[in-house]
Amino acid sequence: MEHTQNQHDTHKDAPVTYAEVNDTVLKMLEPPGTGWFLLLFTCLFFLAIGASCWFYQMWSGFGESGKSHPIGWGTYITNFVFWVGIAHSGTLISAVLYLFRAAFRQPIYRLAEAMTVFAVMTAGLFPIIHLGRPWYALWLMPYPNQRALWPNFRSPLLWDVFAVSTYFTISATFFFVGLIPDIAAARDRATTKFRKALYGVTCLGWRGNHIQWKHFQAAYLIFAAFATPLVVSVHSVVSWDFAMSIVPGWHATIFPPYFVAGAIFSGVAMVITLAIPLRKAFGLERLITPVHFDAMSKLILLTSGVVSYSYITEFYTAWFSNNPFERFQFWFRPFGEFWLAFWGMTFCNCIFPQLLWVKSLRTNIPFLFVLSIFINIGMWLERFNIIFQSLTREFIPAAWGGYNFSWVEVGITVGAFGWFGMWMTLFIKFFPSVAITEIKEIIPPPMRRGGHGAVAGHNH
Amino acid sequence: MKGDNGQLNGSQSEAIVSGAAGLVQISRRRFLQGLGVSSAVGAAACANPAEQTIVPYVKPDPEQIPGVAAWYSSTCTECSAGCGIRVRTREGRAVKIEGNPNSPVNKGSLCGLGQAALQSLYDPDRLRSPQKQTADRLKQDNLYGPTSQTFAQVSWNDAYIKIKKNVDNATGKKVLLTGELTSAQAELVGEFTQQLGFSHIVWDPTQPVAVAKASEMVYGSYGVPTFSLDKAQVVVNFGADFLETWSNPVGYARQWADSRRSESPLRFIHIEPRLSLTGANADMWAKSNVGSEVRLALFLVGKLIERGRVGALDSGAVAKLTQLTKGITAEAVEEETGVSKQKLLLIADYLGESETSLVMAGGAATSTSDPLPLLVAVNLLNVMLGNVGKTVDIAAMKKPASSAQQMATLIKDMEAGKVDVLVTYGTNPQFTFPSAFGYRGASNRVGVTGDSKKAGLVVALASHLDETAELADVVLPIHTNLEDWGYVKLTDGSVSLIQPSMRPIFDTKSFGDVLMDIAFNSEKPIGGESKSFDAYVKAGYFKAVGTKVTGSADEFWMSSLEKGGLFTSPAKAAPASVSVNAAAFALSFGIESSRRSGGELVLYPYPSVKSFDGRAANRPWLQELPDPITQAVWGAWAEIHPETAKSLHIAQGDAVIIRTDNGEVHVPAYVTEHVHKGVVAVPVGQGHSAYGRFAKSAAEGSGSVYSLLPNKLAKGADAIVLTGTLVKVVRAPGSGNLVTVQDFSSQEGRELARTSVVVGGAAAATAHAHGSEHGGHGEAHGGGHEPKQMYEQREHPVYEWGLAVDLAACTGCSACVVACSAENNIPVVGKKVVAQGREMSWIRIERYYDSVPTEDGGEELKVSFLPMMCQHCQNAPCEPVCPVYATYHNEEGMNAMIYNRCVGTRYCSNNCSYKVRRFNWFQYEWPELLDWQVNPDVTKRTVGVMEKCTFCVQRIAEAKDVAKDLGRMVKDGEIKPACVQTCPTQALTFGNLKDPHSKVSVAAKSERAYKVLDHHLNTQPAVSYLSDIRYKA
Repeated sequence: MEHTQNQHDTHKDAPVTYAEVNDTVLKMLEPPGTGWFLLLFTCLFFLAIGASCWFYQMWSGFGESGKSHPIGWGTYITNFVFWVGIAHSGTLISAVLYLFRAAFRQPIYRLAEAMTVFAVMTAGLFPIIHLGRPWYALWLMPYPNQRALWPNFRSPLLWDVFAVSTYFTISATFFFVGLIPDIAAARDRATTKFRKALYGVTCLGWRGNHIQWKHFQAAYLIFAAFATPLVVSVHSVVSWDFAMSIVPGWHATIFPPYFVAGAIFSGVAMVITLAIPLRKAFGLERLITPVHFDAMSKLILLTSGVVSYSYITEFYTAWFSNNPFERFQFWFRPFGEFWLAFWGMTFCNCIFPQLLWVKSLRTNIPFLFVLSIFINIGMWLERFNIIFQSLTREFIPAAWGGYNFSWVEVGITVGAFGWFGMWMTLFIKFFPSVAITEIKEIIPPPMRRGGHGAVAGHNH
Repeated sequence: MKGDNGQLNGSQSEAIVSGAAGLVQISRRRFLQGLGVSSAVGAAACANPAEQTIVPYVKPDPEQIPGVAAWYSSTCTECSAGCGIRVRTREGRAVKIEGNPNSPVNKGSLCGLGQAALQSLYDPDRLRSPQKQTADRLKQDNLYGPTSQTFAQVSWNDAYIKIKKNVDNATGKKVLLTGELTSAQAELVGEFTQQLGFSHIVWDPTQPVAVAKASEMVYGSYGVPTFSLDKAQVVVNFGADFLETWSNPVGYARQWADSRRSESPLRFIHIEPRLSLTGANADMWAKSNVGSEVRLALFLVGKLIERGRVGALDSGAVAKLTQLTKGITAEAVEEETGVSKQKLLLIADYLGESETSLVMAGGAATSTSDPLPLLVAVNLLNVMLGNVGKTVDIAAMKKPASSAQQMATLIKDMEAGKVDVLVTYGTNPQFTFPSAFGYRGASNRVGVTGDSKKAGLVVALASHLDETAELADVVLPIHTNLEDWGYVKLTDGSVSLIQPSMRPIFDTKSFGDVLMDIAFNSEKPIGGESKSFDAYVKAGYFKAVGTKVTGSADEFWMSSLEKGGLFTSPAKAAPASVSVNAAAFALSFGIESSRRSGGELVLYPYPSVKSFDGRAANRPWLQELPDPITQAVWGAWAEIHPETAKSLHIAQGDAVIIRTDNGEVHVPAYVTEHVHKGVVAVPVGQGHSAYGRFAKSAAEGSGSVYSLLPNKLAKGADAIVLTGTLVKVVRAPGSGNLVTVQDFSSQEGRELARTSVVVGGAAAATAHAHGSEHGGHGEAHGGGHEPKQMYEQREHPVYEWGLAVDLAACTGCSACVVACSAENNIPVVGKKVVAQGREMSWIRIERYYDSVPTEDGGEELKVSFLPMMCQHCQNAPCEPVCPVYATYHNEEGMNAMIYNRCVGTRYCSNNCSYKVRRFNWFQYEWPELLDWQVNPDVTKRTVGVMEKCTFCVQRIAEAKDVAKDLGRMVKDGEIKPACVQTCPTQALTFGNLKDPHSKVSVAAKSERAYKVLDHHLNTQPAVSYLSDIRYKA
């Protein structure tokens, strides 16, 4: 990124001013340099790989993925759960923490929300990609039709359709509502015709008068309250895909809280993964400070604990139930053919994060970046263990089988990161990725004698 | 098997068009043939694809109603058993082969091989017209090198002219070399050889000629006796795979099963170095050293003498035997055979104490270099035990005509240029006769003296361009059995008819007609009054049945065609007097001294239900059929003991090379404890270099086991030496491409396949679930438990279909798997796709290795076969999870599947505890011609949808339609799903569970009945299993 310096670097210790917030954030929207284009094209390239792989899979047959007879679900559903999980921290940080008035959320919540929306958009692709006949995906929708056919409301997959689409609608709306004042700020500084039009339309005529602010605050609160239960519900529903089945290793009552905790865990890790390079690239160090990373680290430590506890509970329940199939499954995971995936998950999710008990590491940015990547991998492995390992060893030993990883699956997985990255890259160039308005709430308001212009020149 | 759809449709429509043209251009002979198959004309293609006239049915054939199947009775000629078959045709095309219930041989059942004959008819690599070799075999070949044959199409007329010239001008020998012939063909061949001065040689490696020879030595007449397993209390079997391929597998399997599920099941002891499917069904399998079985048999003889059970033997014979058995102690035999002393004594006791028993020997164990001592000892045992005339019927003997000696002489003659004309039919010596004898080189020297070629000619009458036909100068395309006429005289006096079930697909002729044509052209006509083979068959049939004709000749003929022949109830075997040939005692009953030198193993080739001797290798159903023991598909493998494998640094699936001085074979290793340490066991019949695309692709250039064999014949018997060749086994680089459908053999204590152990006496009364000691759920078997239900139980107003599987009768033969594939259009997906775990079979035979306790507290291997198909659960886990209702429960208790509605989430498959659902990972298409076999009553599924066993819902619908027309309910036993219909042992029972008196209801309430996993999951399957019965060994 060409814009690593900014005018305020010289006096680091000075308190952040309203003007500085506006300058820093809106500077991100300035015409992109080669770095941004490089990033965008990398993402588009990955997306092209994924799209080609998907079309190849549809043309040649679903057999191009690695699934086999006992293993009906594999990489795609793992990816689905992984991305839905990523999508969780956004709503948690923006809505739940908003209701709890947790001040540390302000500089990161916009990023988290954007991540949420784009992650849901990514996640939503996978159930379709994974269908044997994706062109009939609409049959999962309860739409009136002359054949009088109706979907099966007992199927957790149908619940998924509703859970994910509801979550997408609400999180996208919430995200957009929060953006309105900031878009207006961007509108005021927009120079090109395109941007003027874009912001002019999307800010919905925001002028910053106090009536609008009053309505905005009320609406934001309502949406926050509305979105909060979804944090719990969506991943609970996703977990029911597994928990409602009878597959040993899936059929467990602990799954909903376990999945929600895991989702927050992975989501926060993903926020860190994204925030650190963004902060560096756009010089947001004075807005996203070690204090915020410290708070997120604590959240990771907490959720890592919950996740670890869930793992232990799974094993305990399997033993306690005296169910031979469950017992076998939970013996198989750590000691069976695919022990590496289990122990990799345990290291990434349970052991490695324990280092965050050390305070200095909680604010050590390079360490956090590495840790967050490990957690992302660990959480992918967790879903992989649940989905894949359970299916390889079900009830009938004669039907036990393996998986054949294919390059098509790898391509589509990479493509998903490209898709997600493309939206994120576009977003940071077109909309303020840090909430201008909300940061201003936590910094000292400008005094009248400090300069009238500081207030008058801006919307707030 | 992904094919080009467009191309496929194109050629198909062309075939239909030209087929219609055939209707109007019908020759007299064709018309006569057509009489019996008059419905077949519609869809069959004739030879001339240029015809483009479309002629509709102006007057529809009265026999042909669109949508209604026509059945034709015939006889299977795949092996020598002579099972009756019924061929189901739809719109003129044969679509399925089933057993003929009228036939006393198989009583309506049929093995996988017989059913797969359909894929011989529709083999895409079939010969479609006469061909001639274009290259000069002398120049091309350097006499002994590999050939690269090139063929060009000729007309029948030109081919006949060439043959006539050679036959008329031949100065050397003229030889007709055939496989086993039908009785009608054999009679015609008799006339042919006489008239034209041919000599006739039969080569069929599957015929038990050594057994027949041993019968001659002990019982006094040459032939293979008919056995009655169901009348024996104890059966001791030295290697005869009578549940797989040996002699009469379907008939013997029925007998075996009838006894096993009776009040007093037979006790079955199997002695063989390798665990065969037959051995897997035994109460006790004694793993013996190769070639040592004779010592065990002699030991038993000795023990019987001790007991004074000498039967009809005179004192002189007893004295000779006493002399022979002197010093054969249990300890010595344990040392020699590797069978524990304890087992030896048990076997001796079982035999000695039984009233009726049966001792058999056959299969690979009697294909050694010296098979007669064992076979003679076995026959003597039967004589001593008084079995002859009770369980061994020497009045009804099948007389194998195959002669390895004549083959060897023929090859020598051909090499020496003494043979001028060689006509081959129905045999493939280039593949099945040990290549060390040099058939290939000899075939190229037909009509050659020195380096100059006379007027020699090799003619192959063949349906497929196999290894032997490839060497011919002229290849004439011959009907398959399903297009031909004939009859088979059975040993019990019945005559089983063969009639065409459809018009010949290509420009082919009947073997009989070709012989008649050749004779006619040479002005030495054969066949008497008959001008064509079908007329000859009719005349011959009337001659064969003699005075048994009832009604007018026409009526009798029509009713015979309908029934499949004239079947007489078998005459009761009369106790026969036995005169033991003195030569029997002069045999050397020792075992050849251990000849193993470092690193050498003993080759143990065995015929398998998948490939037989090689004739079944080009049938995709059989190639993809998992071998019941190894569960391997496509191609051959080498079974090696783990210890041996370890010492040779061979792991499961590694590529290995089996080498002798004569050749080498490349196969994957299958490491298993259930083979003798000194043995490498390989199924024969794979490794084709010709014959067709499936045979060749399965072979992957592996080479044939026959190429390893030495150029010597068995001592005293007219057979080749299959077993006992010393081979070197080395690991080859890379993977051997072993593909198995089941990689785990333990039940993990899950009580899936259960066994009731009995200790003598009546089985059913004392049976108890052996499984109880595994998981503590044993008490849950039977229908007794009524778990609490959260939801109301489903109502089944009229019918509730259910299936019962009797594991005591199931041998694991996998005939049901083939039947299901044939009935339900199940695609064959190929080795690569099976390796990915994507085989499509709706029914699988799970094979588990467990152990059952023995009386002395030890353990005995117990092999369980568990046929697993959709369980049609009342609480089906697959149903609630489908988001689009593609699978649901219907009011007849079936778990139904709507292919059109399926979007392919595969959630149902994940949630199916039995893992019986199959997903269409790709769009599977049959190659042209094989697509003719598709059953029009069953939907072909497209890519991306789930499928599974439907209980053959099309048959249920058909039966309900019939019942509705007649205003009644469907009768019990009226509906037989394909698997139930074909099961050789009738292990499967289908019917209405609502009717408390239906056979399936009775079976489901049996003491032995249980449902798989039901006590864990409360899935309430509609399929009940009856636990297997095992004697405490």
